[in-house]
Amino acid sequence: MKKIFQLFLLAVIVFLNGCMNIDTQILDEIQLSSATGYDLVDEDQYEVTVVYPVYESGGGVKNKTLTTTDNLSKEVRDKLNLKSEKPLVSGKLEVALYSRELAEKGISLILDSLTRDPSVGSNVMIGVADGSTKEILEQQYGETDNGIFLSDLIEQNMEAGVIPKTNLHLFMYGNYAEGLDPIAPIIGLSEDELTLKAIGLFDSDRLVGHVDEKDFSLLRVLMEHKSKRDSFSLEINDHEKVSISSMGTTLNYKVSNPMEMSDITIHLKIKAYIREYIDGGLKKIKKQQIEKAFEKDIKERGDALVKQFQELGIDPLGVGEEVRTRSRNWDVKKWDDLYPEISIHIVPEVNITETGVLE
Amino acid sequence: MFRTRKKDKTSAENKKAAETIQTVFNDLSASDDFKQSFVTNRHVTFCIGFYETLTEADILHKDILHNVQKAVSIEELTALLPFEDLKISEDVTLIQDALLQGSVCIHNSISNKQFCLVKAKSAKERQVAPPEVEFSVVGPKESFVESYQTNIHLIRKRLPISNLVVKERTVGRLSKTKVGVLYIEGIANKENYNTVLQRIEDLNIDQIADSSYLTQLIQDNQHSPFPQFIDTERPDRIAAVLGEGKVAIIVDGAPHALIGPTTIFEFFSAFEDYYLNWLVASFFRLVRFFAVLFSILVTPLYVAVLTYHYELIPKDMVSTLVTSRTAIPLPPILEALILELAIELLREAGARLPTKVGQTIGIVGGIVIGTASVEAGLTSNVLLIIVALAALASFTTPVYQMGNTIRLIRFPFLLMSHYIGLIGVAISFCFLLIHLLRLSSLGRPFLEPLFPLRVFDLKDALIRLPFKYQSKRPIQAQTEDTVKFNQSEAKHKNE
Repeated sequence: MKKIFQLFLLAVIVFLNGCMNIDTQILDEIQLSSATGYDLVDEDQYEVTVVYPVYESGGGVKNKTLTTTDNLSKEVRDKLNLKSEKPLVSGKLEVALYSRELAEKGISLILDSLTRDPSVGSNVMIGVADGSTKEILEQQYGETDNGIFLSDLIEQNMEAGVIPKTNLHLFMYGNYAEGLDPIAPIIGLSEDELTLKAIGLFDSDRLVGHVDEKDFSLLRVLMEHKSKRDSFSLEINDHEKVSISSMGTTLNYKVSNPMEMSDITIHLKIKAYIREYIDGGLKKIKKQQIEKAFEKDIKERGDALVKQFQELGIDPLGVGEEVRTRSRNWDVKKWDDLYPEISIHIVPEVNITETGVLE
Repeated sequence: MFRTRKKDKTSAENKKAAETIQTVFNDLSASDDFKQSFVTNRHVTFCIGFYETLTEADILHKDILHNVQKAVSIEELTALLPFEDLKISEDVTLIQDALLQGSVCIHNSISNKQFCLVKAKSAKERQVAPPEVEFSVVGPKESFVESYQTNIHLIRKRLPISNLVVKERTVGRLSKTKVGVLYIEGIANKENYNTVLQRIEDLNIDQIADSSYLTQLIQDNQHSPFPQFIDTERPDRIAAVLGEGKVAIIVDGAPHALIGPTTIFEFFSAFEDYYLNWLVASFFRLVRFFAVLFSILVTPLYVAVLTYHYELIPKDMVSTLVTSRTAIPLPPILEALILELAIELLREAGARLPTKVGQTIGIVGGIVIGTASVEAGLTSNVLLIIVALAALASFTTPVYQMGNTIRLIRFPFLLMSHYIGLIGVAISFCFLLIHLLRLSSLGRPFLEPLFPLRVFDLKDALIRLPFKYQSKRPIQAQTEDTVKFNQSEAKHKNE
């Protein structure tokens, strides 16, 4: 009896594998698309560009692009396959770029094709292209695959503490969350060089504004509850320039009366060391003075940033999320009415613990 | 065995009852190496019969013939001969058996009643040499030889206690191989050695050429690729496991002894582990376990990932893998099978050829075939590295029989990985695990101490803790006396 059962089990495994619907996708017999770009042609016609690497036997990589236009992105893949000698697969997609015009119209419909596909990972980078995505993707950047180049460009800056963390997962989270809006980096070509130009601010899935380079690290420390290696620089007066780098920042929200028209205070603690100090000949570092100056600067810029968000009616910092976790009677509609009017203060506290080795 | 033996005896008795010794001698003379000679002294004529090829000429000439010339009767002869186990018998079968074991039979050709049997076996055996399979840099350099006596001598000199018991049984209708079951009375569990003895007694086979015959015949599951007795050529290892309450089996003519009950983890512990510092030894052991998993899983994983799961490849490795595979016309499974077979061929050729030629085969195979097949575009160089490393890893297993098993079970994994990808690897692994869970060695769980979980036995499984923590015998052997030594006294040091 046991023998029969064992044989039955084996037979199930052997014969039911047809039902598992597993297709072979041998690595060198598929075309691994590494980046896609979406441009708006007219009302609901997209132009889709796909980049895939062609590996040469000598070790080099050549990027090839395929472009087609259609109105739904999975049908686009079928159309693209008509032009490709091997089946295009999206499992190694690294970056998805959307042109500014498209992003301003909203991208959730196109994003659906990425989030619904199980082979696409959730750490795909989402980016907004300043200009045509086709133009960006058709360039050859160095010796590497364009998709890897683009994702490394964004990832490296995320890890170095320049821009806030972003990827498909975080973007979709920001998109769906009630008290939070997503961000995405804006990438553009300037003199044939690819640059991270700004950080795009989204209202759910529509691009509505952006933050410039000077506020990158401020946005980062305000968005993340704990972060490291964010740098701030300041010109205290004509002959004194200071640059500090954080060893750790902590963010604390004080919401006294959630869902009421009362003040919200954001305490920002920055533990930092001095990275650069041009003092015009002065030897002694006036630590307290520098701390005060930074606190003042961060407060001013932070308040301005929050004002900008409130005017746009967006919440990339997740103030709404903080309120939601503190209130029993959470109501999105009521919060959306409250948010632009509520007063949000940023109270920074800079603590310089190290002044570097040269003293 | 007992059954066989009885049958032999009864039939032999019936047949031989009427025969006189002279007819027996005449029968044996059909073989040209059986010699009969008659020695006549002043009083009486003695007839001496022996196998020339089994007896020591020196003993025959110096001790036996010399005394035979002086004796008057068999009784007087026994008093004269300087041997401790002289036998006087009238049993024809006994005489015949003794002659075949190398005894010399002397009888008075006139009285024709009593026969004196003198042991004069020639000892043609190999010298005790350093172990070859289980070589260790430190520790004793003795290994078992083909002689039963010497092998037991090597164990007894390490355990000079009266509790060490040897139970002898004879196996094989033709080979009449002596099999000794060794255990320490008062430590070893009765059930363990009785099981071994009973299984040996129940055997009904014609020949036992080596101890590995016995492993295959008496282990719990004979269809399992996993051996359930450890075979070792190190007497120090046998002495150590006897002390742990296990049972050892020595087979005459076999340079390897068997140990049971055992666990799968014991197969991956080299005895050298006990001669090295415990940290070093534990590290080496962990390396070995890693090597086993690596050897079984790495090629199947390569095939599965390249055939089904390209998403799993890290982005920086894609280009390496794709470039190495672009020119190759074969799917990953064929590529892997070809290389695995090549490695197996090399191993087999190396094992069959004489040592000196075997070494060159390794070089020719490894370097020439490897690079040539990459250049010809038949295999990718990434896979070549993977397969070579996997083969190397499979050779780290200290017990040779287990190493072979590891190499074999890689193939079902490989086929399943091609069939349904990583799910196939997972299914194969489940099958392997279920099989190991069901295995037992002398009725004791084979996967102990992981399952059933016996935390105390973990002291000497995946890692080897210092000796002071090894004060208790393994639970697995279910010993009668569980304590090896007093732990607190072992720690004590007098400065």
